[in-house]
Amino acid sequence: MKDLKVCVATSRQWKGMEVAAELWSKIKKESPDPKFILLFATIDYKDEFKEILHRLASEFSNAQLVGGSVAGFINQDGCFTRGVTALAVDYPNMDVAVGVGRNTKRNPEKAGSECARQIKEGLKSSKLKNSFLFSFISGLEIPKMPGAGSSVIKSGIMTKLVKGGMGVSQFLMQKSVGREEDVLDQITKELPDFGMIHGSTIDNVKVGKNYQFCGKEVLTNAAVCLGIRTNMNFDSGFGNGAKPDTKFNITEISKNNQIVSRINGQPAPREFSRLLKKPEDLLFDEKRFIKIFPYFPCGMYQGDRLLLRAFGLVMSDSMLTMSRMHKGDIFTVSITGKNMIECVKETLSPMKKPEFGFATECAIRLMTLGSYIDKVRDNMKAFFKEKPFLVIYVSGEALKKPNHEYFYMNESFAVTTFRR
Amino acid sequence: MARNDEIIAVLEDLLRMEDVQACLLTGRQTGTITPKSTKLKNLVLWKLIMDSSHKLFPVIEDFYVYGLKRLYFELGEYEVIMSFIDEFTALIAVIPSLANRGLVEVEIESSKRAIKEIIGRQK
Repeated sequence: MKDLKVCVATSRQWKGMEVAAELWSKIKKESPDPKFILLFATIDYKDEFKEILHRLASEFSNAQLVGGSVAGFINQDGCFTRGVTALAVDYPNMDVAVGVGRNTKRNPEKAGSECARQIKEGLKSSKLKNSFLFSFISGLEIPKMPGAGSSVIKSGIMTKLVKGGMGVSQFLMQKSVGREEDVLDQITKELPDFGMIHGSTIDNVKVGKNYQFCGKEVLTNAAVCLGIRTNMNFDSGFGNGAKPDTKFNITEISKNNQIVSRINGQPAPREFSRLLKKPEDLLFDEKRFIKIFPYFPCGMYQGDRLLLRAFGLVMSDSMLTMSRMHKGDIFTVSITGKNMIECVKETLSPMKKPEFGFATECAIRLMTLGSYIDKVRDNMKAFFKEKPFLVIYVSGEALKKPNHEYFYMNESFAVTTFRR
Repeated sequence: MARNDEIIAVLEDLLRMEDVQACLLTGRQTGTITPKSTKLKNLVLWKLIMDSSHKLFPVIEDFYVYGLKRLYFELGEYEVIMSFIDEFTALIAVIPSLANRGLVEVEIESSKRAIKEIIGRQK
């Protein structure tokens, strides 16, 4: 594919102007007239976002530019939790369109619908047959509430206040769970023939505020999507390395399917700690929980695939998951560090030789693996050889094959590879 | 740029990360190299870390042949990460004990590799 020119560039400069200049010179050299640029930056650059976007969007005025804030990234240059990266694709047999939906936490259905409408409109005259979507949606943002600074709330009164306050903060301040699945439900319903990879934008896992990029605009609480039609083919896969252990039942869950009140008919926190065979006070220690919650996700099946869900907030009588769960069979799971790394290799191995690849991986895996994340990069490099790839670290990831339902995940690795 | 200045530039970059409160390079050949500032409020603790870290090297050397890569210790509300460039040189970073250590470690590793390259060039 001589006419396909892909560039994944990295900048570790600090000033927006310097970052843009470094990325520009690398992209110009390897992918001179890109159709699209995916741009990601860690939160350290939040005061520089505007400058970077303005300069890159001006220099590459024919390219569609989307992206957002991430916890880190991996590419051929290395593993980084501070920096800016861009994936640029210059290819003649490709039509592109951008969709933006706003107020994703207040009205996710409308945001999704708006996004899909713009993509459809932008690609309606395309004659190319394969459709694919890159989706980036604002993820979880935890509102600061007086007296509720921890991920564990033991007081019953405070629990009631937080639960009540969540709806208020969600509507008024758009601070709370991301509602990405509500947005994606709408997008995938309206664009069923599109394959898709999704990443929920995040900061440095302090879940305070995250950003989305579209052209020269820096957005919050938005969904930005890049739709493409092309003659290229793509393969998708995901993995998490988890094995199911003990089966249990969620017997009471909130309307949004994210606040679990009862497990096996018992108050959720007490029963969950019993199932894990861990003392409740140790598991839900107010100070330590933020560090240990990634180690105790649970799993639920969608078809024959085990999807992970992590409890990010524990209250006196209930637990909040980072994404939707369902009533019925759920499992405690076990994951070893080795399996976390191996699942990347297993996910990639059945795929055909690619021209380039893009992956979204949960930031929790980055938190857990730390510097051993370079083993993930080793596996990526072994598969992609000298071909470009980019992995971004996000708060939730999703994957969809054309005309199939999508999988929404936490603590997982999702990848799409593009080939002739 | 002189070797020490290059190392200081790497340390300054690391220190700009939100969770990194202080960092330094200590080693038999390099001596102690620190950035121009520290975010650590407890300066007595910082001085103690600077003055005493090298005392660990006789023990580190024994364990290094068995693959010692890092040492972690918690000091009250802080965590100290000693990451070894070789058996005689360590990059030390101080982070809050409740920080997202995994994220910081990725940057410590990048800094460590950059410093290793600088030292290697000089040899």
